[in-house]
Amino acid sequence: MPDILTLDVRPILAAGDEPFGAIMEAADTLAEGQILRLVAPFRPAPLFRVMERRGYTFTETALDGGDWQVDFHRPAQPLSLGSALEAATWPEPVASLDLTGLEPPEPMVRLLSAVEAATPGDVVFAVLDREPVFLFPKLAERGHQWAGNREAQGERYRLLVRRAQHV
Amino acid sequence: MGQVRMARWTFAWFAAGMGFLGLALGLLIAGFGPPQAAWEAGESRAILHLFVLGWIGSLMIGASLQFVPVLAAAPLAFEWLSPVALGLWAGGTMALGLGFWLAWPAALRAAAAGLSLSAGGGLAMLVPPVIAAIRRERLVWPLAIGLAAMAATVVMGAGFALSLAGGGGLMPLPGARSAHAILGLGLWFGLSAMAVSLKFLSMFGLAPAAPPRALAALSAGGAAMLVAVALPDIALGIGAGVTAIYLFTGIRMLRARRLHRLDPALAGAGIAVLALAPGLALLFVPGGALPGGLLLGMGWLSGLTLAFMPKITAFLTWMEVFGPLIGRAPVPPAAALAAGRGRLFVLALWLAGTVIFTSGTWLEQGLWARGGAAVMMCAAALVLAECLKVRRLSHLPLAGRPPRPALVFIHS
Repeated sequence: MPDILTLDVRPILAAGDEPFGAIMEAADTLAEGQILRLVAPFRPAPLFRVMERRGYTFTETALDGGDWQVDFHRPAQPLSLGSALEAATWPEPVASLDLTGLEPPEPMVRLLSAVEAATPGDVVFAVLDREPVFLFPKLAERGHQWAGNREAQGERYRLLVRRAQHV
Repeated sequence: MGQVRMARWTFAWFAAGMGFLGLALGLLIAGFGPPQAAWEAGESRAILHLFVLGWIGSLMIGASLQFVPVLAAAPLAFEWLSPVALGLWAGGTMALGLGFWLAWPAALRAAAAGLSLSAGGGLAMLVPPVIAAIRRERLVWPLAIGLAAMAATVVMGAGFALSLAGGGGLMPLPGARSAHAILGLGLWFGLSAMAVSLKFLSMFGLAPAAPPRALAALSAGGAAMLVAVALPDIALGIGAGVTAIYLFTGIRMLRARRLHRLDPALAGAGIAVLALAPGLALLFVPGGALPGGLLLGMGWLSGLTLAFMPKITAFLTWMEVFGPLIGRAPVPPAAALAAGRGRLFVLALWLAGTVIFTSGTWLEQGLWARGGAAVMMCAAALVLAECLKVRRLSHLPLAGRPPRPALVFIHS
């Protein structure tokens, strides 16, 4: 398997077609460590946000004649859909919870209680046995932001929750 | 793609399933179906399908719509289809029962249409989350095979129904019927139940997750059964291997669990699993296909379902009622919604009823079989009563009890 999968969308655009589907399809077929190299006749800025939201990182290079080459890197463990992208700029967590080894819904109870007890803007970190899918809508309903992914090794799930600024 | 939310219609599917279980058992107690009537008789076929599609099928689809998104960490597609699919499923099953019993072509055609459309709706909801997770979550592999088997089972069944109605379709020859049973009972219900029960063991028994290698082996076995289904003996042989892997994996996980006092639902499931190996073994004995199928469908699959129903009901009810209060007001533990005691007795009663019914049917002792069905009806009624108590928050102290949720609809 080649390390770089190249997708030149210039012919697609020249034919008047929309390349978004082809890009997403190619991105989804990437194996771990593989790179999707996109060649486009312009800097595909709107795509960056979409790909970031899906957990991809990228490097961009301007080519001759106004074309752009963008290398999208498939992350080892992408952020779960709905994660806040600005989590990297959040303050250090004020609490770190080990919520492994608990029967559902106890992890949710402990985490939400810790978040509700925190000061607005504070961040709580937790490690869980599995992705807490029923928790995410509850966080969103209460205005809290979150970002989570699986640990690079093992099955555990890591989650940052930032308490809503205004309650 | 949005976020995973609790599916709203789970209890409506469960209620329909319990209704069909009551109907099927009631007919058996009244003396219809085997052993008074031959297995080939229309009324026996009708009762069999009321039980398998109406009871196990409704529970399987309803539970899948709730838990496949959780296992896949990806939401259902077209969730609004759920009540439509339920209506078509229940109507189609009833039409099939009438079609078999009365040899009524119009009802058989209606059943083929209703059940196919319903299964199509179910697949439209379930396939997208499974595809979204298939690369990162090995547990969805057996579920994907289960869904493929569901499609094949319903297509074959619809073909049989159309053929019986006299309009072409697929001739229900013995080999094709064996394939239909292996696809439905073995792969759709069986393989899916194996995957989900291992997940529940890890979640509610705090056992380690099922090893990826074991899940891959279960999936490979399931896929091989799917391919070999035209050769029932070979498919059954592979099924025996899959079952051995399941039991071995489950026992290893159980030994490594962190929660020493086993949850009543898991202990009840353990009782149901007692029917698995004897049921499967009977399939290899000449003349043992029917009693073996009864032990698998009634003892193992139905027993697992009855063991987990109160637990699932309590968990979803707790999430619905107390989820919005977490961190804002004191909330009771989820276990407070259900009665911990008596569940093992209920499962033992169910299994005893199954064994009595199966042996009575096998030995053609009508009264004995009807007695077994009555025992099963008692156990099912006890499970239903407990689920209703959970849903009505009856186990919580009256003081400070929050408003009761709707009985068969989840506000999420």
